[in-house]
Amino acid sequence: MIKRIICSIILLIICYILQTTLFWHMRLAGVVPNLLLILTVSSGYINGHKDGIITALMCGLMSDLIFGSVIGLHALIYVIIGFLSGYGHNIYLKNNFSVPLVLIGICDMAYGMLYYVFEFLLRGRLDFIYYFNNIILPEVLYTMLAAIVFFKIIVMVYRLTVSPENREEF
Amino acid sequence: MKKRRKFNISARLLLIISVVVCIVLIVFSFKYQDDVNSFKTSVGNFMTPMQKSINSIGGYIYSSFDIFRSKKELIDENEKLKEEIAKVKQENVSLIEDKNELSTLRKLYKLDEGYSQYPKVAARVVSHDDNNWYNLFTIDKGSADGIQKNMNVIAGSGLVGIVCEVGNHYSKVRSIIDDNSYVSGMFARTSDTCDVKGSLSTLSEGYINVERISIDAEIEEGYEIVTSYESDKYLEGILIGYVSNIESDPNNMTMTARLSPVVDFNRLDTVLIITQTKNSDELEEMTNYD
Repeated sequence: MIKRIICSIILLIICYILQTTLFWHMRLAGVVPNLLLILTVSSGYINGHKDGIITALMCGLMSDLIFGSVIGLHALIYVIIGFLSGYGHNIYLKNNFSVPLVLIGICDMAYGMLYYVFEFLLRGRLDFIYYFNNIILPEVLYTMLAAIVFFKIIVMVYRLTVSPENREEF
Repeated sequence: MKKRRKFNISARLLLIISVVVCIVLIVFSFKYQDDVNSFKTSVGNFMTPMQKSINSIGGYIYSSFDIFRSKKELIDENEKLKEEIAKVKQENVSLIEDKNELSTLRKLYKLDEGYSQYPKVAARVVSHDDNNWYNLFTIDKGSADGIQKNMNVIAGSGLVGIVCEVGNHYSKVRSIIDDNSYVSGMFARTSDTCDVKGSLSTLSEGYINVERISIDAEIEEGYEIVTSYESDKYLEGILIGYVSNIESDPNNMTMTARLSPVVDFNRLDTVLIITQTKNSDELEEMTNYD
């Protein structure tokens, strides 16, 4: 457990830095893929509810502390998503990459909607269709694209935390 | 075995604990904003140096992609465009337009002179907001370089935004196109005041909104909007952009318009920070009167 948390922290820092710098230069349709969400969902999917929640809490707080105005809002959204993605652990299959991709897509959609409700709807921006077409949907697609690469890397890193005899199930 | 049992909290309990922690944090951060800011600063100080180095690599990779693309397509395109420009130029040059241009250029020249009296510091853009909903970015100068909150940020000849948070060696800038941004501006030629509001939903079409222009204002499309003397954060007379699509509101008291900013926010890499805040300016004036 401790090993996995340390791994999560390292992955979190790498993902965060990449998301705010490198991927900003590689924007498609004006959006950046949400690597922190990929990390949260993968962690929930690979290791179960508890890891999902802990990783989500760290990702959310990181996001809040660096760019948020209110601390805890992102963390709340991420924790909900981290917990839900833990249900995916029940259908975890080794070497299957299509299930996590769909899971990440659904979760990013949920993230976008929750974010819209908390940050934009509450300020009276009602044009949901516009935000959905121009921000949420492109972000989902680009995040799924990035997940093809990042999910494999994340699986590989988490494999290192398991003792060699248990490594088979990963 | 006993030790193991200790760790066995159920996932639901963990979820409830985390949600409660988040809600407490939200309430806490509303109530004790200053304490929270110092903690945020320490996290920022830890992350910014790493972001700085990776960002320069990202910029390099991006520009090298650009070079690949430019090889053939752009040369062809350039040739075509050049021909077109020559044609259009010949057709369009007329005396009236020249005259218009002259007057706007004179105005701009004056504005530019206006900026040069302010002390400025150059800074590099280090990283951008981590989600797609807002327009904040980090620069590599902080309180150690004399940056303070509410300093104005410009690039080229136009307003970029305002410093909203300062760390030791970094600070965060909220750009004027951000959905939460609000600048009180005025028309450079007629001194009519208005509000310039950032808006995410209109940004992809290249403009932001201008609201609360008085119905009596004698304005035309293409007029410059500068920061107003009324604003308590922005220094007076910094160019924001040009208006278009002026329409009167249903209430017939005010007008709204679109504004295209002069700064290209997609290609920002260096910005200038005016190291003078409006408040200190006013204080100085007050002491002069004494």
